Amino acid sequence: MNMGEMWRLEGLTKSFGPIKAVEDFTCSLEEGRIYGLVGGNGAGKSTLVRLVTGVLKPDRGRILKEGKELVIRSPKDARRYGIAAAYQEFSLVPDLPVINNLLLNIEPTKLGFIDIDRMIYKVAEFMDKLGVNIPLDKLVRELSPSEKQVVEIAKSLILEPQLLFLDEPTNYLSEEQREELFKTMIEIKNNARTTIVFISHRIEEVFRVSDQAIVLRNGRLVDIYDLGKVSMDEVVKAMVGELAEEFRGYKYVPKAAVEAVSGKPVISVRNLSVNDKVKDVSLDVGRGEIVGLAGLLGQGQSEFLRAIYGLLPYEGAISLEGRDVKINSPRDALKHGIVYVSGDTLEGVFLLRSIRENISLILNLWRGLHKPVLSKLEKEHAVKMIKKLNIACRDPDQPVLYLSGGNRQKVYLARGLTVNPKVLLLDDPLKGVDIRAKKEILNIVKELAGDKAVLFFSSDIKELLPIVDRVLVFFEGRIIREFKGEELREDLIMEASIKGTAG
Amino acid sequence: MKNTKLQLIKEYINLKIMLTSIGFMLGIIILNVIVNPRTLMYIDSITLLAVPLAFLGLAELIVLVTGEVDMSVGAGLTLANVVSVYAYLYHGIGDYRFILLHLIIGLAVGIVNGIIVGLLRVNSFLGTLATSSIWSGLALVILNKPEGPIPNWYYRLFMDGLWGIPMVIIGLLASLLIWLYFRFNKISLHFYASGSNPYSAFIAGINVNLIKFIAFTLNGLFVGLAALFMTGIIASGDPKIGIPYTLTAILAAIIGGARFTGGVGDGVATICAAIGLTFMRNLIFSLGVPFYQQDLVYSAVVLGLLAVVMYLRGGR
Amino acid sequence: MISRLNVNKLFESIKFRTYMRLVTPYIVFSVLLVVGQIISPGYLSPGHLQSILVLAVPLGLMTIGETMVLLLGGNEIDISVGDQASCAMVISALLLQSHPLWLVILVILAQGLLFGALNGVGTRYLKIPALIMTYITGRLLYGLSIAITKGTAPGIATKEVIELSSFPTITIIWLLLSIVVIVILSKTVLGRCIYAIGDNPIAAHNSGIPMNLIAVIVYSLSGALGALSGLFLLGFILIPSRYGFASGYSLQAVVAAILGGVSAGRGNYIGAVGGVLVLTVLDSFFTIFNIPEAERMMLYGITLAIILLVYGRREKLRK
Repeated sequence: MNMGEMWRLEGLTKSFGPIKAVEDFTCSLEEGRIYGLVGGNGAGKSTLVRLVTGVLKPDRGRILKEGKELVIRSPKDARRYGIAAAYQEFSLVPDLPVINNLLLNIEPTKLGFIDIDRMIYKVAEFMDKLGVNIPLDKLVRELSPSEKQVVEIAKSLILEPQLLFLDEPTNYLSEEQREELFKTMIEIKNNARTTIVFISHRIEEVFRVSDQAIVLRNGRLVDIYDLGKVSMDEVVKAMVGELAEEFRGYKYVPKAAVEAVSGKPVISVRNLSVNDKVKDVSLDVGRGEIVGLAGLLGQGQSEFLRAIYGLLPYEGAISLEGRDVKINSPRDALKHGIVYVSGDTLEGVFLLRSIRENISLILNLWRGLHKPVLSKLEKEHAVKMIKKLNIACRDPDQPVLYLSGGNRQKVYLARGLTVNPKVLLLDDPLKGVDIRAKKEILNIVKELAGDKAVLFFSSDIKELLPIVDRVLVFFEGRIIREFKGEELREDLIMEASIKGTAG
Repeated sequence: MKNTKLQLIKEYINLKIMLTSIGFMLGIIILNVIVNPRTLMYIDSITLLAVPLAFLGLAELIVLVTGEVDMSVGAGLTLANVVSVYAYLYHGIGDYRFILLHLIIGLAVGIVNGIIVGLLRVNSFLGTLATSSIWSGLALVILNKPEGPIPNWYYRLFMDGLWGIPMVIIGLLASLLIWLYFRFNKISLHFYASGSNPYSAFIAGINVNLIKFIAFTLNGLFVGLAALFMTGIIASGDPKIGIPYTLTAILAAIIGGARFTGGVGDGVATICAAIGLTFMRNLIFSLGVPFYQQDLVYSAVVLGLLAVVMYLRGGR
Repeated sequence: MISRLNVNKLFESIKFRTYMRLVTPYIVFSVLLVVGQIISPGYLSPGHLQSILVLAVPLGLMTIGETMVLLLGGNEIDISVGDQASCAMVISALLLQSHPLWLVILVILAQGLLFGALNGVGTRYLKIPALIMTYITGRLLYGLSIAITKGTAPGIATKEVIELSSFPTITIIWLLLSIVVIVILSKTVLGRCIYAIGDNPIAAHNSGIPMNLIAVIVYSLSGALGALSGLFLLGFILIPSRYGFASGYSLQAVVAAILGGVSAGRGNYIGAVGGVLVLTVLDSFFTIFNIPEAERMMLYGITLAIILLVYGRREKLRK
């Protein structure tokens, strides 16, 4: 154990089914330092946090404090050891007032009764020091997102933790509030010698306030960098990693002459906003165009696609082939020829039903609820789709449960293709799919894009490069940059995604 | 700081919901008196009828706050009533143990429900439906028809009151005080948290399943108290007495602000709702609704009230 | 020699498990029949078996509706079916005195559809949990039956009805309705949608399935079938002895369906029929041993509790 080493994470591993979220993570954390935890999509950052705070049980590995192994069986244990976190999705109770959220499970009592005076005393002083001005008696459900964020952060600080995780704490904060937060972080680092692990998708923030950067990629530790001695570009390159074998040496090749985007675009979006996640996005997609959406996870790409499909309420205008439409539900979207494939197959496939049932579902719906099932035609169609998409299965009557992730995704896609959509929305469908299936799906999309408008979001944009016409990078709900032609290079796009700037 | 404290207390006692419920109660009572001025003469005995319902409503509220439901409160009350009267009539247990027995049975029922839902994590809707069958059946086994009488001193208690105070006042005061004692106790915050967002409660180190177990146990205590008053009112043991009460208790809790998804609800409002609902029954009677239409009208009004409340809340 | 791997694979295959779920209640039924023969010789005589196939019909019809509701999953349940039957019994007894049978059947079907639709609307549009909503509807039907007859005895079953409710007519009716529902569930788009909703409600919504409409349809059908079974109950007992006579059947229908392997998105009516037969035989045992209503209630409660322990538990918070 080194001088100043306070915490040691050894061999932490966690898998969810076949997906390895965190693999053999080992590192030491010193007291009085701020570590920036960075990594691309699916790198494992949030999972790592939840492993140390006792929310998830690691498959393997141990956590040591001052050389002694900690037994963490629940968040309560972690708290006892001085570990706290402000979570990305907040851990607040909406129906309780702010003050009770801050003191949840640590309320002061007098003979068993809630000691309101002491509660207020404890919290008021604390909030004062932080410079926070939120009424303590307000219910959390009535707070704005930025107020909730402030409360979440305050909650993590109230027990004066020795190891503090801040997972995307600046998402909803204003410039001013962010400065305040950084000031506070540096203060407690210096005065209380707290170890802080800071996660943010804004790479410059991480550089501003952290001493070292811990880089994760695909659940594994890449390296730990001293931020005084290394440049941002180096760290970003470490995050991006090596080009995958088969995509190395990729050069842009213009797609075979496709009908120029003539006349009206198939789908046209103007000033689309979705809650706070998508801000004023506009784009057009023509017939036969495949538009790739890039950027870090959570920058609004999913919300954008889901709003067009009617899963989320939106503001703005959508028009199809020149006609204005309002889409309030998936039924509306389907009626207008818009099909959506989610990255989470569990949102789209029916595991207990057979392949052919799944594939024909939407088509059957359109025929009518009272109509009988046409088994022979269904089977023939399913066989056709199975061949076309190369779905690995025994026969069309097999329940989808037996198919691997990639093949399930193919079934999901086949269902949408069956109804000959005009617009195809793909929301990170290749996530967790094996290489071969990925290629097959990409080929099919490329082939069938002929008369459709395709919007394709992928958390791993390099896979899309062979088939897209252009790429739009999302950052904090806006499109910050478009990449076309010769610029369609993975490294350029990744950099723009991480840096969040057009340059 | 003074201001914050006041605001907080207002939040804890859910002022808005409480006032709505008091309004509802007073409205119904006034309507009743207008339609039938004789009501004023019987107001204490009608209100006494509301006391078991008030306790059952609180029992239901406590469980609803944690995000579960209890379909067996009526059956539990029946069982407590029947067992105690049986013990008196056939085993001569007519002293203070008569009262104790009500509470023990109520607690036992609550603990069994708590184990099934809280510790074994069974779905509370169906789980308590199952146990309600067991309690009802058991009650019928013990007494297959209404039997009496109850111990004389207990009967006199309800006639003359305790030290001169009518039982209706004691009942309402007891329910109010017990609720306030609970509400200003630290554990009630954990109840609300577990119902409002169990994941956040878990992250804060709260054992949500244990909380649900405790909720059902407390629920059992309230059921026992409800049974105590019911026994005094009907002055007998009746194996079919509890049947209509479960639904009404749930309705009282919902008017008292509870949601099926948990996290909210106020006890004072529930008690007032119970009184209001009891007078509603009386109102239907006073309006001259013939006896054979009373069940139908009452159920329709219950549905209507529920629909209004769900609609106003946005059906959460 | 069967290697361990193969046997495990067999047990895990969905097809195998589906067959087992379907066949188990029938195996239990057969075993119970043998037990019945032992405790009461003559149990297996054709005459007695016939009577079982007759007595099972009302529960069988109610379970058709319950099966469809339970297939929808997501806490959908219908405990108003018994009260539909009770009310229909009373209405039939009343109207048969002065109206033709076909009209009476239309009236009770209307009752069933109306209150069934009410269930659907209440659960889907008012967001009242199904357990509460259908319970209230049951109480409404109970109150309705008292109101309509003004608290007096409604009347007696007519010869027509009695004939309708005896072998073989009643069993054939059950058979026909069973075939209809099996066809609907397995061979129509509606049936596909019902299974889809139960299997994965999120995906169902995302695929544009009209979930609210289907729920209303299913609850309406359940109500209609419950009401129809009331007519046959009248044919059995001739005079309704009390209001709410058939209330207890609601829980039995749920148990029968669950015993038949029905759950969200899984199972079908064929299995549920097995469950109905099992419960009917158990009921006859109760009668043979003179087990009164009270103990029966308890036993159903205990059975349901045990089934729930196996099928219906919440998931853990810490993974």
